[in-house]
Amino acid sequence: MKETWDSERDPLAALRDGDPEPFEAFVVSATPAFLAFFGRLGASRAEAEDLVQEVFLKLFRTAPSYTQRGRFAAYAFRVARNGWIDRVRKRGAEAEGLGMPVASGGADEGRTSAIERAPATGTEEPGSGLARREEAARLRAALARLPEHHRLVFELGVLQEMPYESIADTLEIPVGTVKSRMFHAVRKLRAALGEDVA
Amino acid sequence: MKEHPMNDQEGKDESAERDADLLESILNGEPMRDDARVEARRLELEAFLATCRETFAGDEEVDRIGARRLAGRILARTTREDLSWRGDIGLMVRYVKSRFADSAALRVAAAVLLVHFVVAPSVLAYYVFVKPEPDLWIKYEQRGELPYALEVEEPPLEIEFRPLDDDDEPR
Repeated sequence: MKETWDSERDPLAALRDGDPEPFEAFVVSATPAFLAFFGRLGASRAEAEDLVQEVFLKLFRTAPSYTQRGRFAAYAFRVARNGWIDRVRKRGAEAEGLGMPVASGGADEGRTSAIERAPATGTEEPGSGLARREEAARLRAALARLPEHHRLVFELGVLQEMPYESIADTLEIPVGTVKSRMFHAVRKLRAALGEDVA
Repeated sequence: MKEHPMNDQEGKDESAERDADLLESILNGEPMRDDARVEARRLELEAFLATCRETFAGDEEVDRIGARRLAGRILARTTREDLSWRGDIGLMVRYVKSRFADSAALRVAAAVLLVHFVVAPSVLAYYVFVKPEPDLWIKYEQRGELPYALEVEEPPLEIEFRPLDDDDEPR
């Protein structure tokens, strides 16, 4: 799991005990990660900001009654994932109310998120730049096409570097299901890049 | 010799199971095993995962300044919340804004109220006090008294004079 998520003290436990510093440090370090997380799930920039605020406010409000069970990162991502599910449901209900087609798989499949549209960053050598950008674009497109349950497992396991047990805890599914979803997600992404998946 | 379809399927299942195990072992940070064939596959998967991480690592760098600003806003609403009257006003404004953002019906109701209580009286006041329109109001004017000369005069009574008779007695 990412180092920034493993602070010495559980941010919510510290907040409950009257020390706001770990929570403040967590907000500052985790905001970009949550923005990217929601962006990859299919949220627009404004929607992602809204969701990130909701997640932190929810965490802050639960602090007085918080009891530490397992890793804090898993708990935080569970709150984030529930926020995303609520948003997708709300979006679906609004679309139904307006008589518009509801996107399947949770996220708007045809819509590109701010993150998806963002150019690839980092230092690139001139010769390999184009090929790398193409590969990155294919990977982003493939990730956007993954079913949401596969995308979430991939996001938490590969990009947030959470162990399988924490993913299972976050998504409230058995570890075996995490294993199977991860395998399918990786296979589909590798196939999109033209790698040998046999 | 052609491979039996059943064996082919079994081989695929075995390979899938091996890949799933390998992924679990990589992502859980478990050490490598001694089997060279399996480890070659493991390195392949590790390279792919590294590519993925590299590709998506930039996502968090896309808007660092925006993310910092957002973190500041979150802290202002949580641990660094202003508890003075300014904070109370800010809280109310945020609440109203969020309610407005959530409900189209509320926005319509607010617009109607605004027209009724602010815009309509203002427009009315403008036309009454600043720029009265001559034909805007129906005026009821009391009918004034007609000039004296025009008063209709009743014709004078006609008096008939006749000569006195003998029978007439003086009154």
